[in-house]
Amino acid sequence: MAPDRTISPTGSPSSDDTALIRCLKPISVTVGVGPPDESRPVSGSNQFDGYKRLGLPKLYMELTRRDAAAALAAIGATGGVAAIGMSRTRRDREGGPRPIEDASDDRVRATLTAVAEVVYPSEVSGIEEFVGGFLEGRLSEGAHANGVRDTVAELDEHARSWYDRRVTELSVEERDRLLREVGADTAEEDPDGTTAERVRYYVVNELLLALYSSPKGGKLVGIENPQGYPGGTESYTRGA
Amino acid sequence: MAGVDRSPIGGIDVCVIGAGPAGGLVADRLADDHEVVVLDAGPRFDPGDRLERQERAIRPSYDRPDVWDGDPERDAYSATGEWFYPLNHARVKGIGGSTLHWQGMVMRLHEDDFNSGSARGVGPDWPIEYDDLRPYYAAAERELGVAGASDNPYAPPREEPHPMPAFEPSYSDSLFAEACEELGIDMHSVPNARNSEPYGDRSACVGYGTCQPVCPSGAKYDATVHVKRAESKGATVIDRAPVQSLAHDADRVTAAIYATPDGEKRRQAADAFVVACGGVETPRLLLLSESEQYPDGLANSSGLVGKFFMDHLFAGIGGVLDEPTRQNHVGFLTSGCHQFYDEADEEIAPFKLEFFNYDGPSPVGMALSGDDWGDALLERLREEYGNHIGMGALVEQLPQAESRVELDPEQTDNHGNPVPDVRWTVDDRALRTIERANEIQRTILEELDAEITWQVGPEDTGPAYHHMGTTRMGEDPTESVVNANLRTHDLENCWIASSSVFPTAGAMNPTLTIAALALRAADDVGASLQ
Repeated sequence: MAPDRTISPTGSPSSDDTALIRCLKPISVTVGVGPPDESRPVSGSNQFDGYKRLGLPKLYMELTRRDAAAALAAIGATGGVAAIGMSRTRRDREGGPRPIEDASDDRVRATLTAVAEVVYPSEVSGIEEFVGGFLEGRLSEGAHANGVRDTVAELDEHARSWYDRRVTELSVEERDRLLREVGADTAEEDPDGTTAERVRYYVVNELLLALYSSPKGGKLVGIENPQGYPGGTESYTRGA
Repeated sequence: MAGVDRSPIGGIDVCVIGAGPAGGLVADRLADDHEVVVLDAGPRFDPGDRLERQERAIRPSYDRPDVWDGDPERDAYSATGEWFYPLNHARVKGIGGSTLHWQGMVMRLHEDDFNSGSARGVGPDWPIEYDDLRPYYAAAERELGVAGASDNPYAPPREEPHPMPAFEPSYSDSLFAEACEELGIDMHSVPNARNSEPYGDRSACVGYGTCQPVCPSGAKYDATVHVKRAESKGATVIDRAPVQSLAHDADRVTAAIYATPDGEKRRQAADAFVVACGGVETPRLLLLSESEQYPDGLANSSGLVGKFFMDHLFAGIGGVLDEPTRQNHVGFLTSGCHQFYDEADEEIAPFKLEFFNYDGPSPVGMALSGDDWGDALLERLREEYGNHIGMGALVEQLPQAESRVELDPEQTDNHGNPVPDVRWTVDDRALRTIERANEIQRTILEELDAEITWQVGPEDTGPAYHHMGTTRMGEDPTESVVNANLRTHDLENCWIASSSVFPTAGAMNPTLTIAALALRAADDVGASLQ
C-alpha cells in the first residue's frame, strides 16, 4: 500500500513543559509521515511483527532545566578533555599566574547565556535556565571546566578591549560581531589552539553541543533522539 | 598508573597475550581450572570515562584513534603496500581491544566459507567444517549476548534461537522493504552483539547512537566483560605490558618478555601460551621473536607468518529521498541481505548487503563543524538532515601471499622494535564483486526513486577493519601456521586465537567466528594441561 505522507505536524505544550515559553510554534516539517496505524512488513521471509507507529511527536522549542539535564545525560558533566586527560587548558600549558582575570562561575553562566542568545536559533526560549543547568554539570570540576572559565575570561577581555564593555553588556548584534571578529565562526574547534579555535571549542561548540545533542534541540531538526542522547530504541522505528 | 604491580606471576598455567575478545574468552574459560595471566599492550580504561569518550567521538576536534587514547609512538606502523591501510583507525589497544570501538555485528560464516576451494574454486579450504564450529558458534552467541532472529533463509543451520530477540526493524528498513519486495530481494534481521533486553548484568541498549566507536551504556558487548569475569575467577590481568618477544626453546615457548611503564622488562613464564593480538600484532610478535633456532621468526617454518593479510572491502551507494528517512537515531543496523552470498564462485566473491540506519550527517556533528550559527545554522541542519538513505556491502577478498604484514626495519616503536608494515593488496575478484554489489544497491535505490549522491566502488573502496589471514590454519605444516585447534605446528605449547588464523575471509564480520574459534582453542589448551 502506498503510504500517505501528507500529515502535518502540530505542536502543543505538555504539562511539564509550560514554563518559559517565549516562542512556541510547530517545527516546520515540510514532509509528513505515514499514518500511525500503517504497518509495512519487510519483504521475503522476514517474520517481524510489523512496524510500530506511535504517532507524531509533539514539538516544542522552549528549553528547561530538564533539557539541560538531558544534555548532560548525553555528553556528560565533565567534558571530553577533563576526566581522561587528552588536552590541557591554557592555564596548564602556560603555568603560573593567568594573565587575565578569572571568570567566576556566575560570570561564565552569564557570558555563555549571552553567547547562546547569538548561536541558538530564535525559535528556542528558556536559554538562561538551560545554559545554567547545563553548566552546573560542566563547571563542576576538571580541566574542561578550567578551559571554559579561561576561554570565557579571554573572550570577555576581547570584548572589553574592543568594545569597552563585557560580553554581557553588548547587544546581540555586537556579540555576534565579537565572535566573528575573534574568528570563532570560521575556526575549527581545538581546545589547545588559537583564541579563535578555543572560543569555538569551549564557548560556541560547548553551547551547540548542549543544544543539538538534547532531544529538544534534536526535535528542532527533526530527530528526537540525536546522537549522544540515550533516547531509547523506539524512535528509530517510527516514521515521525 | 603508580602503585600498580606489574610483576610476573609464579605458577602460571596459561599466559594469554592480548585482552581483546579472543584473549578474554580464552582467559575466562581457562580461569575456571587454571592459573591464568593476561598481558595487554594498552591500558585498562575506566568505564566511568565513556561519556567523555563519546564526546570525543562527536566533537570534530578529535580523530578516531583519540577516542580510546591511541598513542602514535606506541602504535607506530607503516603501510607501504599497493593499497594504503589506516591501521590505527582499525584497532584499539587496551583491555577490551577493538571490541571497544567495533560495530557489533555477529553473523556466522556460511557453510561454503569453510570450503572455498572445493565449493567456489578459489582459495584454500579450512581444516574444519561449519559443523565442527557450530556448537562453538552457539556458545559464542551466549557469551557475547546476541540479539537476533531465525529469519534469514540464507544463513547456515542453527540449533537454537539467539539469546535475545532481534531489534525491531527501522523505519528506513520499511522503506527499503517496499523496494526490495518489488525487486524480489529478501531482507532479514541482523544479529547484533548488543542487548535488546537486559542480559547478564548489562542493560538493554538505550540508543546513544554512537556504537562505533563507543557505547557509553555497555549494552554493546565488549571484551571487558570476559576479562572482568576471568579476573573474578582469579586470573591476573596486567595492562600496559606490551610483549616484546616470546622466549622459547626448540619446541616450546618458555616465557613472554614484556615491558612495563617503568622501563623494565619482565619475564612471564607459563606452561601454555595463547597469542591473541589480532591480525597484525600477532604475526609481528612472532616475527620479533626470531632466534638462532628460528631465524625467520617463531612458528614460521612454513614461511607464512604475516602472509595472506586480508580485510573485507566496503561497497556502498546512497542518496536522498523526497521524504523523511529517520537516520542517525541509533548507531547499529537492523536489516541485511545474504541472498547473493552463496552465489559466489571463482569470478564473484561472497558479499552481504547492509541497509543503513545512519546514512547522511548527524545534526549535532554538522552543528559543530559549520561556519554558521543561530537561525542560519538551524536552516542548514534542516536542509541537510532528514532524507538520506544508503546501503553498504562487505565483500570477501582472496588470500594473496603478497598481501602481508612484515616488520619495517626502518621504523621503530617506543620500545625500539620494528613496527608492522601492512602491505595490503586486493584481488580482481573482490573488485568485480564490489561492482556487482553496487549494481544491486543502485537497483534498489532507483526503485526507491532516490537521487544518488554517493557511491563507493572499486576505485575508492576501503577496508572494514577486519584483519585476517596472517597466521592461517591448516593441516599441512608447510602450508599453514596453526593446526585445526589453533596450536602452532612448530611449538607444542603455543596457540593463536585470532582472525589471523582464517584461511579465507568470507564476507561476514569476523568477531563471532573469532569468539567461536577462541572457545574451541580454549578446550584444546585445557585438554593439553590435564
